[in-house]
Amino acid sequence: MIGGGRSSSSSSTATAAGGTWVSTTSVSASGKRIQREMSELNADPPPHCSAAPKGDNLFHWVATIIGPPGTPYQGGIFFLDITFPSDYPFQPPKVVFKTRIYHCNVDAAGNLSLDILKDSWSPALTISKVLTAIRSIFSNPDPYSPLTSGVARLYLADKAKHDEIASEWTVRFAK
Amino acid sequence: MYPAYRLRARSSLEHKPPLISKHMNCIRMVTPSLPKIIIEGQKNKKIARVLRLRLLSPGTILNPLRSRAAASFFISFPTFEIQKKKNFFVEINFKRKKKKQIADFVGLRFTVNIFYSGKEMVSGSALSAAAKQAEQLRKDGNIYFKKDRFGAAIDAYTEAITLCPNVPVYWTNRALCHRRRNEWLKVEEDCRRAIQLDYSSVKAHYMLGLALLQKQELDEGVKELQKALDLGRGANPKGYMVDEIWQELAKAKYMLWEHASSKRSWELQSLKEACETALREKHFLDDSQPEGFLDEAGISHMKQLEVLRQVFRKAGEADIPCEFQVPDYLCCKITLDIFCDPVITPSGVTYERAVILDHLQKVGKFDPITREPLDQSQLVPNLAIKEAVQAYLDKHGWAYKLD
Repeated sequence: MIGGGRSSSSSSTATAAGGTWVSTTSVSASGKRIQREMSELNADPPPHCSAAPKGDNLFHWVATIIGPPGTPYQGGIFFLDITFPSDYPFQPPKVVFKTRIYHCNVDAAGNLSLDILKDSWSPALTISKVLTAIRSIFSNPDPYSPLTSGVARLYLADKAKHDEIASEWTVRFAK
Repeated sequence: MYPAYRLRARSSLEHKPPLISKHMNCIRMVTPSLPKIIIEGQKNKKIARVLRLRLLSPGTILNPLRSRAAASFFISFPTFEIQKKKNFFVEINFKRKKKKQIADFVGLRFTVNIFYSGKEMVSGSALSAAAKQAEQLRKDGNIYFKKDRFGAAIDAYTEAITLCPNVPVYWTNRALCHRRRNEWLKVEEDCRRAIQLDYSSVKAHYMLGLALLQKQELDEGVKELQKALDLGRGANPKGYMVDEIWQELAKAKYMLWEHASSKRSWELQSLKEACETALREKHFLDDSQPEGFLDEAGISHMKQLEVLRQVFRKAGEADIPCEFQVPDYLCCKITLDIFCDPVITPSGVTYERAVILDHLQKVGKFDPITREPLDQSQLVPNLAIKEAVQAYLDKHGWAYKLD
């Protein structure tokens, strides 16, 4: 129904399903959903974001977010790795920053603390919504549930200093 | 005809069936509720002929699909009709041959054995030897089938069929083997037979549909698949096969649409060419008139051609692939795919049934979009959306493409 590269797996599942009468859709259902998201992202990408599969593997994506203007991250291009679990969308995708960023909700390894990627995950969320949410913590960091407490403390105590370091990091790593 | 005495035994069939007394031409017994019942009766041919044998549930009569008045007879009832009900009476109506021999008649005992078709026996009565053997053969066949030894499985089912030709499961199982060997003509034959025996067999309708599609009888095949889907949903909406049937049906409908749309666009194209040629010729004739204003005529000619093109583009729009996008309101927010079996939550959001059930089980008991608490029992089928989806699919056949 939608254009774009799709390796159809329907023919193989149809023959495999014949004998056992057991639904074989569980694996392909998540693949199908990811394909849908991909074509939707192609048709209508969220502002300043992009995402696409890394290679042939549908379950492994690379995304980029451009730092929003008016923030110390302005103009930086931040790369993220997205890994989909096999029972996506019932499990949240795993998102990791590949570009270093000075942010209280992101640790040195690139892990980020975002409630919708953990306990508040809902299958109605899509990658496009997740990227929008990540972009919003660029402008509004949450220092009260930090991953790097030092950054959070500085953010609360001396925002100007924090912003200065953050924009320095952006120039160093994200440009 | 003798007055119908009705004897209602309060016992289930583990107990002895009631004795027949004077002037009785009908006996009734309570049966336990079963998913599928086959009644086997025996009687003394000399003194009575069985007229009919049927299952009664309070208020309704379930008519058998097939009944045979013989010394020993099998009757199978539609499966899902019976599932809905709890207690049944078996009623046997019979006719005495010689009115005078009442004395002989008194004390006659009908034995009615009730057992699952294809499953273990539930009542205390024994299966007949043939049925037992056929059951064993079916089990053997199933084992062969699991080992992918389809030839051996077919042999086993064939033997079972020879012993008990009226058990639909044997036919559908054999059809399944034929299907795996891609012998579609045989699949069709077996399925038709199974449907004759049990019209409500989902598998039989499903495989018959596939066989017909293989024969390129698209319309008929789609009809059978649709029937299978309806029956499957009616009997067990979360059933294991419903999904698979839907996919096959969608594939078939897509094929139908492809045929129809290529034909349509071809017709449209040739009509368009004919119209354009006609218009050009007309214009040429107009031009040849001496006092024509050439420039003005040329411009109006171009305009007409442009309008003609637009008209044809509009006419073909429903079939144009680049417009392919199902509207969001017909798509589940989780699968992002067009609805098959939509259900609505108390928050008013509609989801695909299978997926929202998965969500409630795997993620948590809340509505995925509004995050309000949600329990499985609160889901209600959304028939309006279902109809809207059907109407949309009827108009836009390409949306059946599932991948």
